[in-house]
Amino acid sequence: MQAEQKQPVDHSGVPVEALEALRLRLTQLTHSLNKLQAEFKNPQLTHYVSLQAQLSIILTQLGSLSSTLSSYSDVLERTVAYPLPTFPTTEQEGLLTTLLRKKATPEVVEWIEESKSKNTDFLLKDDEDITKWAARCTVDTKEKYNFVGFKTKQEEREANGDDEKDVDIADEPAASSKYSVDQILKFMYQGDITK
Amino acid sequence: MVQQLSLFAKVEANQHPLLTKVLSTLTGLPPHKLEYLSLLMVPKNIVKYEPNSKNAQFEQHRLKLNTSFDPSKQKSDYKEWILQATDIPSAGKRKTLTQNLVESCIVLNESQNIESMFDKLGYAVEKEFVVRGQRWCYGNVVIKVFQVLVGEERTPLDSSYVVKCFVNVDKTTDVELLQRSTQELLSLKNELTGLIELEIPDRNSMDSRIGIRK
Repeated sequence: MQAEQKQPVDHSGVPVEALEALRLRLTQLTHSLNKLQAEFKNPQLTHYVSLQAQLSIILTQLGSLSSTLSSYSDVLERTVAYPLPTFPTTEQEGLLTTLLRKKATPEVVEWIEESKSKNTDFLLKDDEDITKWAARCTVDTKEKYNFVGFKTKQEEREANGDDEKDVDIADEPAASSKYSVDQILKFMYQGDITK
Repeated sequence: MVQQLSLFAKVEANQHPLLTKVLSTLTGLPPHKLEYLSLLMVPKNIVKYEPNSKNAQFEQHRLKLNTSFDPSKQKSDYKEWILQATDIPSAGKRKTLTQNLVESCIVLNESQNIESMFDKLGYAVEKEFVVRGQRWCYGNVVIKVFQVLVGEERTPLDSSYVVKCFVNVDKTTDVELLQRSTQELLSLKNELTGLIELEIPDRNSMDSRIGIRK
């Protein structure tokens, strides 16, 4: 890939289209990640809405990158990069090894391992169970609360305890009432109940 | 002095749970417990009424003392009382019962006792009763549904319940406020028609004057 101007080099084997597409996506992604990192370093943390917006942009860019990678996967898998004979191998060893490295760097390997171990509970085959569990949990929790009206579920339950009796009691025969309202008021105001 | 506009109704014991439910639904609130002890105080010396004498200038009234009821307490244990004096409800063609009343708080210290204190003022306990029931607020209207309990055993005087709906108007001269309160009471009366009939009781039954003129 390291083309030198001095000698005519055959560029026809370089998958320019694929590499350009990837370069564009990667530039965008690096830019977004740098911006996010800079904001995290800022002593005053940005509003979470803005952070979420940035995260979703990054996720879109990651998605776009991975789809680009997969669409050029056959070309990229077949392509092998190597230094030209004229490349100053000894002087630029560091650059060369960086460029030709295929394995992930140790820290990246660590990240991958870490996230893999964290996600063992959520393996794809368990996904269906989790979905079911979440759906059931949502329904159960929803049952426990009132989202409309002025009463909490607890108040409603307590009130309902009496409700069931109401219908029966209303059918009971009336106990005979001896006094009229006037007489009761008379008792309350005059201490006397006679007519 | 406040002016109390009120309407009354009677509800049979078997209809009471239904009314409780209806009022809770109507007001959107669970009922508040209402339980207070009332003492009806009467002057010890009843002045004989003689027309054209100085006595004709004033009338003697019964006084009412209310305090929140606690079955574990003796009468002398209650230290906070509300003294209530009521006038005879206004006469005339009215849509609601209109009564003037004055209330005042009495707080006794540890050594004082309500009966001895009123004894010094020349009043004695004539009747003692407990009012027990529920209370709701509906806009500016307070709705009380209660029974009167009498005797040491606190047995209900009557199996039925009394429904009292009232609005207290601070300024007795505020005609606009009185009209609005009347309107509120009448719309509540309309709302409850069919379940209970809110009516104006006989004003004489709420006359707390000593009966020498009657």
